[in-house]
Amino acid sequence: MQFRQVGVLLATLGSVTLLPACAGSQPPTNDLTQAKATIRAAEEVGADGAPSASVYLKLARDGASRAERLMEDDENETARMVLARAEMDAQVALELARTANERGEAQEAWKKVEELKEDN
Amino acid sequence: MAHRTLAFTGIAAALLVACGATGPSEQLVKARSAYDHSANGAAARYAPARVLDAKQALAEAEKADDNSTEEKHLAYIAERKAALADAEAELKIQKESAADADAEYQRLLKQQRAAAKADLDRTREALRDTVDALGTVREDLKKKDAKVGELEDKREKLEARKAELEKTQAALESDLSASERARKEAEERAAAALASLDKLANVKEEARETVITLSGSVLFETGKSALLPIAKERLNKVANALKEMDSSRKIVIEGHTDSRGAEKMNYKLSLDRAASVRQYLVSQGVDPQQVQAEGKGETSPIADNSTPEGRANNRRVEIHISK
Repeated sequence: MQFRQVGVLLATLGSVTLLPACAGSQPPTNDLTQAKATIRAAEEVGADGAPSASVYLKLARDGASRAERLMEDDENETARMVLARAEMDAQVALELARTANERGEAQEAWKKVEELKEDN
Repeated sequence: MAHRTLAFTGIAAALLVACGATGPSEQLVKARSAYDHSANGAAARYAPARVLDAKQALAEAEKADDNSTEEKHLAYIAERKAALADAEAELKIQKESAADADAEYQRLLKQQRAAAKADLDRTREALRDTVDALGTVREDLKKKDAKVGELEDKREKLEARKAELEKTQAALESDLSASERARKEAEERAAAALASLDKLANVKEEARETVITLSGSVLFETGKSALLPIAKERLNKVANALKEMDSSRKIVIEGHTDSRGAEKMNYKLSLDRAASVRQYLVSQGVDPQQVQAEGKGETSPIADNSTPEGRANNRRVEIHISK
């Protein structure tokens, strides 16, 4: 009886601690949707064209694809973790693409300043 | 059965954490380095929230078992959060740079516009000065034109006056020459008249006067002062000659006698005879204002009174015509 109680406790602990490793939990559909949305956002600001961002964008896409396969295999917890990393990769890609764009704009703005100086 | 397996796996995981023999994962090392970079770089200033986020994520990763899948996963997340902090900081820096560039652009534009405006103002001012100067010149010209017009008017008036004066002068000259001619003609006529008297009387030209001497015997009976008829014929010619002469010439008629008889009687006779002649000449048209009669008696003989011829010559009437 006591052993059984300990077993139940340990099982509870284990299920809490190792829940991500556990198969058979709910598929992380929302996480997938979120990651894909962030990937799209990065694509829209031109992350493919920015060398620094494109590396991260590729990682995010790979992660999303891998998560989808894991979800098909019902490996939902692993998929959730893969998606969390893919989401971060997509966010970094998005931010770097924005930075690249802003850098371009700043360079353009300074170029205009130089042109204005040369005009006179 | 499944629960038991799970429980054992949990224990194994717990043991792994307690053990810690394998050291941190490569991911955690990378995450620490990435966080250090963010915390000590631009991100600390530009993206402090992100840095804090990365710090918390790193702390989570540090709590996980060394080299565990969880640690690797959390470290991956932490490393990405640090990268995000760096990216956001860089984004803000670029935005600032762009804003600086815009501000600089606006500043330069404003400066250039101000310079251009100043240039334009200077040009405008120069133009205004030029226009003013032109106005002054134009006004000056107008004044000069007016002055020229005035002078022109004056000149025209003077020319008209000159023409008038020349006309007057010409008229005066022609008048003068006419009167001169008339005077000359009169002189000539007078001279001619005097010349015609030559056969009847003695005409003598002296420095200041012309003297016509008529013999007394031709004019009067002895001792009388009434004119003989023949005398009137002669005096007509004398009167004609005198009328031809300039009216400004004084005419004095002097009566003279010889020395026979009383001196007083002679004087009276000479005056009466002169008066007779004067009266007759006036009756023939000689100006009475011009002519006077004087009696000289026997005081001015021209010949010897002791001979009959001499006495005859002394009995006479002289007509003195001043020049």
